[in-house]
Amino acid sequence: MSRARLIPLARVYGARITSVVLALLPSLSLAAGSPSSAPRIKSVHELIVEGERPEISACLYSAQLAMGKSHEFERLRWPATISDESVVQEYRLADDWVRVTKFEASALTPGAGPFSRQRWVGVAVECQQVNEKAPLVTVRLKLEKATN
Amino acid sequence: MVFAGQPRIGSRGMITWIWDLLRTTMFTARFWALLLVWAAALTLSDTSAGATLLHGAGSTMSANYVDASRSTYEAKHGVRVTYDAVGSGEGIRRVATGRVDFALTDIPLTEFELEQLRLSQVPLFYCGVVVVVNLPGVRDGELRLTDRAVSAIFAGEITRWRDPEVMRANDGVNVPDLPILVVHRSDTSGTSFIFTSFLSGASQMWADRFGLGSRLSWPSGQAAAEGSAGVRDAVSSHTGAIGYLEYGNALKWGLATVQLASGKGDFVRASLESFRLALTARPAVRASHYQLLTRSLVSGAWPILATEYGLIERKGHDQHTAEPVTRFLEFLVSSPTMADFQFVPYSVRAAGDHLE
Repeated sequence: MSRARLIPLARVYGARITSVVLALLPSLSLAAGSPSSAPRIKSVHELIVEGERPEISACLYSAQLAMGKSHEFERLRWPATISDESVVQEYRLADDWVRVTKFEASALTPGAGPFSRQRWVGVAVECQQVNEKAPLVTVRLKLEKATN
Repeated sequence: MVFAGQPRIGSRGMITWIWDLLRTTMFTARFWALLLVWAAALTLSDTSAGATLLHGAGSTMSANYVDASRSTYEAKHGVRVTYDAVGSGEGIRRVATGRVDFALTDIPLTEFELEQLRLSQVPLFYCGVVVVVNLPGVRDGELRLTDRAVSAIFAGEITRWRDPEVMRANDGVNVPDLPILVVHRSDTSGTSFIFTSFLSGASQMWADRFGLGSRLSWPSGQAAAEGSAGVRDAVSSHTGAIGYLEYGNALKWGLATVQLASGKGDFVRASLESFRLALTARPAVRASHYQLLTRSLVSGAWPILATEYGLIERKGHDQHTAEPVTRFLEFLVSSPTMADFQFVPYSVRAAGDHLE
């Protein structure tokens, strides 16, 4: 093949490769642990429609909202088995009705600087709902098991 | 606007052109077929507008009662009601997405959840949840299970019927030496929600490991069954099986029930009387009517009582169906046949117990 034919071909394919890389960039950066856009918060309605347990949906919704106010974490993701694995307890404290919902999930830490890498860490989420109002959320880093 | 290449048509020419088009299409078979279909659709929509049709879905616990009531209601009020017994969780899903006009559920929703889903929750009646067993030689209401025994059985810690913890409360009862098969609901179930709420109150071990829920991560080796009928089938077909059901269904299906301890500690048999006793000590409710009636601190009171609720859409609900739905739910609350199904009506006193 002559050099004259190779140059336009290289230009065409070069442009195509560049556009593919640009299109994949958000996914690649997400895979590396840095979110490309603000997370979409699923409403109680969406969570129930998706089949989550009705009694944990308020906690899942509130936990996502809490990420937006947190300095320690940016985003929350939970396993597909969340509805089976979360533990709900209810009790009365004097005249107050209290529901406590606990589950384990992963939270994305913010990068400390331009070159620091974000990472997903294991967290324990606890919601406390008093007298049927919006749940209050606590997110704690899960203690890693020590390995020798 | 005239585009390049399009012939110019004057106003007279335009009328002639439209008339020609109509004349040629009017005599084709396709035109008349379309006209017929359109007329038929109009006629059908007129008919359905005349006769009200309500769709409901949800709890399998009250399915028999709804089935018996809806034919009476249709005959009296000319309103046809359909009801899919798909479980409380699926009922909530369907009413939240507007697929049905109402749902019946025994998973109570809190004020926050109701607000988020734009639903109203109406309490209808109470029903007892009972433990049922398939044990040869053991009669209905004969076996007694302590709080510790029943929670350890469902947690998979007691695996045989002649376990010392079971036998301690059953002196003189001919309990067979059989392995225990626990049957639980596989669907998102209000009966599971109430029953596990009882287990959470009966045992700290249960509360910490499993908690209460319409769906749970049950211990391995147990049988999962869909709906009340699935539990009935699994329990009645396996000797040594234990499960939980709504009392009216257990009676109807001839399954042996178990005595459980009241919040005071005395053993109680399931009956309408012991259900009513449990209601005498019910806590006050908020506007949502959310309540869990387990382990009532009254001697002789049945320890597991479910409240059946109707769920309907809030504002924005189609006015043509809003009133008929409310009337049908009122009919369910006041129907004299309720006692035949072992339900206790939601009393005015309970409704007046509002905190707000």
